[in-house]
Amino acid sequence: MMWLVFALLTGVAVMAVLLPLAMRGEASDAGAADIAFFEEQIAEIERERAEGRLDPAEAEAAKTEAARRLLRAEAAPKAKARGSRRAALAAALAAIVIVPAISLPLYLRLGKVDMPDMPLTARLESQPDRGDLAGAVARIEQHLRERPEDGRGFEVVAPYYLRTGRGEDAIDAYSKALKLLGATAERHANLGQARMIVAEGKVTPEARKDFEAALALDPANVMSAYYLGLGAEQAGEKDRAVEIFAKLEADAPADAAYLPAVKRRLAELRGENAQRPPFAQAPDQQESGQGLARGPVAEGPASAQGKAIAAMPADQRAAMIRGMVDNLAARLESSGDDVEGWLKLIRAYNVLAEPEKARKAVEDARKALAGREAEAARIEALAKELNIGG
Amino acid sequence: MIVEVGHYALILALALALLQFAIPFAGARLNDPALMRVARPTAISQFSFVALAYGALTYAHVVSDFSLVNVIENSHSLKPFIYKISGVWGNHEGSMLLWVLVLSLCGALIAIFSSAMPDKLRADALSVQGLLGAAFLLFILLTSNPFARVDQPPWEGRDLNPILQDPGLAIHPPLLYLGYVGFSIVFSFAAAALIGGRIDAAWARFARPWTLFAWVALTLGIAMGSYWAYYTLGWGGFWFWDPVENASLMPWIAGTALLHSAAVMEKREALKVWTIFLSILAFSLSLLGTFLVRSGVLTSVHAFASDPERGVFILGILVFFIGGALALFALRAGSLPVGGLFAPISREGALVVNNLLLSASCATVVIGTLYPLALEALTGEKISVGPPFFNTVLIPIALPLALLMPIGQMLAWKRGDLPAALARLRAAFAVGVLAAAALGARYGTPFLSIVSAGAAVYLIVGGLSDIAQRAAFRASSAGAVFTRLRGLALSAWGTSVSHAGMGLTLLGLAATGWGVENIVAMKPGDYYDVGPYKLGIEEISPRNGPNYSEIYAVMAVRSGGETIARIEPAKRFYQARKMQRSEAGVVTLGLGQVYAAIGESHEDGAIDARLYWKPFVTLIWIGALVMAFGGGLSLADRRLRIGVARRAQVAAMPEAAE
Repeated sequence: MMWLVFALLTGVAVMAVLLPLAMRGEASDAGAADIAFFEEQIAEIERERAEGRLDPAEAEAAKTEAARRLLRAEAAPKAKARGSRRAALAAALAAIVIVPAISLPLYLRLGKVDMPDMPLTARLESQPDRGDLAGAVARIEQHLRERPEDGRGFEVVAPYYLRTGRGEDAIDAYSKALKLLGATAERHANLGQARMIVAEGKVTPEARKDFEAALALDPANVMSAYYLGLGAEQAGEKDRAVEIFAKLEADAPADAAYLPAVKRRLAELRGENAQRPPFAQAPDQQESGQGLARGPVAEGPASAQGKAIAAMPADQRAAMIRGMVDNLAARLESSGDDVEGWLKLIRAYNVLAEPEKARKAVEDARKALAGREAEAARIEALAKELNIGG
Repeated sequence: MIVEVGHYALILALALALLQFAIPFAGARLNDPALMRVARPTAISQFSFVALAYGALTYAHVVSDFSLVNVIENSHSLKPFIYKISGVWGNHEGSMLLWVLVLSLCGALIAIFSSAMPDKLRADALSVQGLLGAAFLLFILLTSNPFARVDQPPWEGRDLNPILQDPGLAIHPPLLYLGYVGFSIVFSFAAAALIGGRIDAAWARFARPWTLFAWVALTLGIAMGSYWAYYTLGWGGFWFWDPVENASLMPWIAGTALLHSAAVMEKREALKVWTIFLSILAFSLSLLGTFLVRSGVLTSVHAFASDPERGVFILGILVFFIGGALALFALRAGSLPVGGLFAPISREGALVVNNLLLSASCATVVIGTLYPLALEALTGEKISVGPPFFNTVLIPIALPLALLMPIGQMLAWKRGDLPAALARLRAAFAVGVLAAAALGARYGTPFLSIVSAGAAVYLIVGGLSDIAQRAAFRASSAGAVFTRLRGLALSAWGTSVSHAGMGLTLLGLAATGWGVENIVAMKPGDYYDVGPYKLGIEEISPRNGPNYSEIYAVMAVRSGGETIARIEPAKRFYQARKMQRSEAGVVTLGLGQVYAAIGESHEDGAIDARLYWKPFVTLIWIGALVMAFGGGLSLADRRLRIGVARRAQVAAMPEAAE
């Protein structure tokens, strides 16, 4: 089918050359156009005079000048145009050979003949691939644009947003889920956590309101309590923080996964132990395991973000950086033609002293940038500089 | 399938362009009518194939086909429909395709409207046009293919640069390209005349309408671009002497000169060689502009992406066509008939002065644009040639030009009478002086603004008084005046209207000296002075657009305690590209505008804002519209032009100098 269309188009192109060659007709000689022009000009002067736009004397002067030029044109030597069958035949042959000889090889090199059109709506309606998370999310988004009252859809995509660095979208989706499906402690807690991640680990007043709402609905919501404790700590309310963490510790079952983190916070707050626990190990009573490390994003203005990071306690900072690196890696996995991103990622792994990951990033970058020599060369140069051949 | 068909059509267009070059060229050399006849259908079908390819790319953008790299990089499924269409040319590949589309359109137009043209001239002109098309099609296919595809299409695109998400994008590039590339027609005519070694009598008659057409489009395109920059970039400037802007100004000035010298050539058969040279120059400067913008030599919003390979390719095209045309000119110009001589005091003489001044301006802009680039390339030193240079050099050229424009209009062809022409301009001059005095008293310094405004008013009145005097001369009644006005040639109207338009623009430019600027942290509820008005914020709130979120401020514009208008400057944030862009709030009051842009918010609820009052500023663009309208009038005049000389004794009579 495709080739049929191509053949048809090629035929049209060739015919555009063949038809005029086949037509009969004499060419006017070279001077004819000039002579016609001056004759027309003289007629025009007559017309203008008849309409009264030129006065007779002016018209006479102009006509004399035009007539003089006309005579000169008529006296010019004429070369008679002549057609030659041989030339026409050669031209026809050239067209028949050259059009396909240029188009076909060039198209075979540049084009992708078997590749169908891929309009987005058709792709969204087609059968999804297994394991294509991005595709599934795109489909849900499409569905949500049509039925924005479907709270479950928002609840499903929100964690994905948070993981892929779309913090604002995650907040939006969690709030919609909350509004549409009704308030639960868990939904409030998740929304609060998303806000916190977007705020680069800071428990903002909005986030605090969410955690408090979660606790009002379910006083046993550990995540909210823990983050409120952190919030109190960040606000300098040490006693309140100790109170919250102590209560968490007292209420926790002995084998709770979050217990060590709580204990470390307490130890830190009471000044018993100088070593800070990793901020990222928030107690997580959910199975989905959305730790802070997976999420933090918010690419605000670089300097502001940089300042915020620098101002954090060391452990929080490490978690923050970790999160950003993971985030970058995730982004490059889905769209890998960003050479700056690859360079940044490789450097980051190098700084974090993770040679394995750095090497893998080099390999991935090579694959993603295959065929783009200038950019691939920059990756190679960096790999050499950092001594990670991969 | 549509996408691949478009891709194939683009390649076929390349094959046809090569044949459109080769066969008619051979035909013209062999004097073979059949071969020369090939030119027209190939030009038209080449255009059809490029249009097919362009349509396919547009389709891919509209349906968000993310298997095309071009769509991934410049579109987004949520982008408003209009930007899906205009976004096709809002990127390097697409805009080059638009360039070639317009180029092939020009070829098709020559093919369609050239029945009266000598066969050889047409064959050679279309042959050159074909070669141009082939070069640019090859450039697109080899370095900037908009149909490149990926195997694993993503689910979302990266969106169009927010600065380009504006109605301006729908208008500015197509008009600008019609202007740039429209000059290719005249270039091809000039090259054809040089190749054929003869300038046909009708040459100027064919060349002039196309020059006008390109000039009108370019005028509108530049004006549109400048207004767009004015309301988007957020500090109220409309012209920055940015190399990219200069790139469009250079062909405009050369085109203006060409327009005038072509008039001399058409009516008086003089200035032939010079006109041919200007024809080459105008399009060469368009090519230079394309090179500067597209090669990545310059970094700007127009550059989209820089890639050395592309730069070298365009440089090659540039050198080949400009160098080739100039070499041809050097070789053949000597053998061309020179044409008539003329007296210095005459319409022709005045037009020569016009050409000299315009050439000097053009050279100024070229030097100011290229010198810093050359210096940086040679020594690595970065210098910035900005408004001070251009203002210092161009104003002393532009003001005399403005003074001479009405005088030239008053002079007759062949033999002019300077004292009589000056006498007819007495009134215009008096009005100009009075206006300068009045405006000076009202707005005060700078002195340059007062002088320029006076010159502008003189130019407007002088431009129109030619028409008025011709109509009113010894007229007995109002009816007779009206009949005369109707009887005047459209081209005479065109000249007067365009010159008056230039005057309007000049007045708008002069008035920038009287603008008022106020940069403040605005607290809601407080009012701040901007010129004769007061501005205050009534409300600041966030709002969501289709693919952005924004903070907007509702500002009330007050005059004498009463709110006369409300504007909504906004600051937008585009999620997909994580980019900000400001949207100025503009309201037109009389001929001036109140202009406000907002910046950072403060903790205490105040917001940084830049407030401007710009008297007469709209005249800058209204003037351009009027100029273009005048060009259109002249274009509509399809009569043959004959330069009629007046005999000495009737020289004082203000009659048609047509």
